[in-house]
Amino acid sequence: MDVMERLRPESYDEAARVLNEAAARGNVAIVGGGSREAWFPPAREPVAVLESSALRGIVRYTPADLTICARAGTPLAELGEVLGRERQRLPLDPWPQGSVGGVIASNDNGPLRTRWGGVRDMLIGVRVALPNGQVVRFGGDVVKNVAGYDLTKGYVGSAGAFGLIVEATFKVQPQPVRSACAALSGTLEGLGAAWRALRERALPFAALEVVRDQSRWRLYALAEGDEVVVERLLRECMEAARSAGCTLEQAACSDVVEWAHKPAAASVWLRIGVPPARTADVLRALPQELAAIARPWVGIVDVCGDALDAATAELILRRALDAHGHAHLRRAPSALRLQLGWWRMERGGGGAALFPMLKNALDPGHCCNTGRTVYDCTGPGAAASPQRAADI
Amino acid sequence: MIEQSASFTQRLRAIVGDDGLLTDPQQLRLYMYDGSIERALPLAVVLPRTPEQVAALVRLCHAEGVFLTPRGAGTGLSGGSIPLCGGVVLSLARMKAILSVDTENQMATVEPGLVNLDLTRHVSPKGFQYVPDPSSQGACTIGGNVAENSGGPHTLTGGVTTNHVLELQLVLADGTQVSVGSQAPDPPGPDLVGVVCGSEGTIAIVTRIVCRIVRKAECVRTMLAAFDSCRAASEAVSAVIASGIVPTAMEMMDHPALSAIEAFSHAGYPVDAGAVLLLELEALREEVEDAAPRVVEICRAGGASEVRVARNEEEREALWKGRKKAFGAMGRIGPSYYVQDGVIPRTRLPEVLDRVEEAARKVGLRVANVFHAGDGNLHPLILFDDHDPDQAKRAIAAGEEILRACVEAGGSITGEHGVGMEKRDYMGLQFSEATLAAFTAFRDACDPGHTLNPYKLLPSGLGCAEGGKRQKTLTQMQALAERNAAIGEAY
Ligand SMILES: Cc1cc2nc3c(=O)[nH]c(=O)nc-3n(C[C@H](O)[C@H](O)[C@H](O)COP(=O)(O)OP(=O)(O)OC[C@H]3O[C@@H](n4cnc5c(N)ncnc54)[C@H](O)[C@@H]3O)c2cc1C
Repeated sequence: MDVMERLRPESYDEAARVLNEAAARGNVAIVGGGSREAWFPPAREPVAVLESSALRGIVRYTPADLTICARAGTPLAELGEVLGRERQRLPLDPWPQGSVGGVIASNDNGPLRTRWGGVRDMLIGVRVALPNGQVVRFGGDVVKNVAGYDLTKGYVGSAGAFGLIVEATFKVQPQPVRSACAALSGTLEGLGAAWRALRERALPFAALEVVRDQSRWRLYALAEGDEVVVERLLRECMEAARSAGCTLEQAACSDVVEWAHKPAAASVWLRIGVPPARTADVLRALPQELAAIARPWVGIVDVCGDALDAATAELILRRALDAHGHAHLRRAPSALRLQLGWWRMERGGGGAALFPMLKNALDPGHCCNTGRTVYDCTGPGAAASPQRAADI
Repeated sequence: MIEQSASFTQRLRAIVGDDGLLTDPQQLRLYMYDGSIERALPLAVVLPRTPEQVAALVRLCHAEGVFLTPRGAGTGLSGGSIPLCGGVVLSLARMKAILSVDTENQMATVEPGLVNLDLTRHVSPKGFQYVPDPSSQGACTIGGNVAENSGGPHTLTGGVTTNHVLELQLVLADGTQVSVGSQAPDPPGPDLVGVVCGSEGTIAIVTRIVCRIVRKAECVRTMLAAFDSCRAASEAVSAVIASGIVPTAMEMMDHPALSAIEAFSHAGYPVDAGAVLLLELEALREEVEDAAPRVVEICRAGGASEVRVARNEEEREALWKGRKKAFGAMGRIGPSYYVQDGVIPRTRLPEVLDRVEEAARKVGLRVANVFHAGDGNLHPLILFDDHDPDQAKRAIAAGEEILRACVEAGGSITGEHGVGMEKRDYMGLQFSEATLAAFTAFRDACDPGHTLNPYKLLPSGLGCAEGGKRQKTLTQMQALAERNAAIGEAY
């Protein structure tokens, strides 16, 4: 790549000013920590790159309020350290971790999604530098807030389309007193019976991950909380294993983390989302050579491996769509990328209508990271997505 | 003009049929109100039965430039469903079916006019519940909840409406039908469901909702703790949280509220207490049994003179009865009340409650507090006589002072009741001109003519940036208002 102007503002006002100046000249690529750059189509013909990396550090943190406000370039790991000193945490564990702003813009999450939800369930406010040179603030520092449009949510998964996030506030929670992990191994059918039985009892597992490693299926159950809770959850695992005909194995909490880190190291990574009860259908149809990590209570399936041919990939994608789901090809060698594009999703037409409305309101010149979302990407990388009637 | 408008009502009738159109002034009067102190008469009310009828109505009004105000049950507390500038009220009350319940995926598809509690009642035999539970849940609709992004006593751990909505079917301002969101997790692209929730009927009409239903917790324990003062009760709230326990509900009632509630619903509350906390734990049996005595201990250590733990469902319901009927009880201590809805960081409760008291005293009125203490969501009820215009004015002044205090403490002017008509002009307290301009730009992009629920949510002065453009819109809006009035003359 030739030398492109890289802008690293150190204050919110500076961010808005340099964005405004660059936007007058052309398109601007917006970058957070950079750890997820390859997951999205490139920004269209940028004249400059705007980075949040120099906007770093905690702005406000009152542990007793269970909220924290940080600058967008703060690494998620650093946020975790600050919270950890007060024995609190943000229950958001994506991998790679990246920066606060990047995790919001890519709407990423990890195993704890099962119990605590995604970015949208924790984020309570953002401050944003807009291409018109203004810094605006949506939401705030309080956990309940319905003043004005909830445009904070529009930044979740925005991939930089609506300006540079410069600051964010999250709800946080006390760290669990204890964590422990159990693993069940057996057939996919057996494990399916176990995770359904556990779900029916409304048991608050922090994470539940079904993985396939070569031909072995295993279900990891992460129990967190007070001593009594962890013990009860482990007992329930034993019971579920027994009645589903699975074997209970020793496991460590770090096993869950290790598995969750796998996709980012593979050369192909496909993230699929389906209604939770369809998780097993997706898993069952995967070819042997691919590893899979799934959150069966949520409906997320990560498929990863060293090689994947386009025809097989199409079959997997087809299955996700048939299950009323969607898929995001996060990592792929360039040849496969060219064949498959970035996303598959059924669209109810709402995004096609509402995305431009948000874009026109916040970035009327269409110069911020244009072309990086499922709604405005074009060219050979774009997704071929069937349109679905509005009926739900 | 009259010719044309007569044909307009005929066209409304052609869409919804005779029984779906109200034009009789007597009947229209019922649609002047919601739960706020605002009033305005619609020119017609339509009661569609299908999303297609809604779309046709929106298309017609859009083409004719007639204002359209969606309405659920009209329990809103910020004037959201009041047809401020006349026009048509579109009531979703007849679209109240539960279309499907999918326990395997833990979701339900419902129509917007469904009453909140009816969903929980329907799924309850299967062991499920719909979490957001506004105190008005016996009357308010899920569509109204989505529009206001409503909360409730149990949203402290469970999250508010937006956290329980997966997919929405919408009719946009130009009448197109679309859907946003997905029954699968984390759909690619921005979170559009999140943007629609809380938009107060100004960018789309919600015609169908896929929401989450969850299994009821294994064990619930409710307790009541009496304190000498609001300050002591507030400090207990923070102490419970600091201990690492997050109850599902932490509701506070102060002394004036307690006396009113007790006189009204005989819930057995300790009326001589300075403040009462209602706490609920909902979790695994072991967890509740472990945490409940710790909560009792923390309350005692914080000066609670009495802590009662409900021993069975009957006692639990009795404890909640008073809280749920609290607003209705205010009639016992004053002719009328004006409820505010500010939010503050929880740790600022003691000082802001002092400022609430001070604000009311300054204008010579009394105030009672009944609120969601766990998430810092205040509901000061300013008592006044609605037949005395001066008192009403003073109540409003005290309300504004309270909102100022909330914003100064780092909070918000509304936690769950919405901006509607009532708080439009307080938006400037919380948001900068630049942020208000962004809200306005979004509104303009979605509904350039502002036909959907006009004059709501955004400052009425429209004094923010881009003056020229706004001015033009304002003139357009005045022209539309005249046209709406002319249609009104047809009746
Ligand atoms: C006694 C009492 C207690 C209350 N307690 C709580 C509480 O604990 N928590 C809380 O959050 N609120 C509470 N409220 C406020 C109110 O009940 C909620 O705001 C509720 O969500 C309103 O629902 P509704 O069906 O009555 O809507 P309405 O009042 O009819 O309308 C509210 C807004 O939604 C819009 N709207 C309605 N339906 C649709 C639709 N289908 N599509 C688009 N827009 C629509 C309307 O235009 C209006 O702007 C309380 C109210 C009362 C009277």
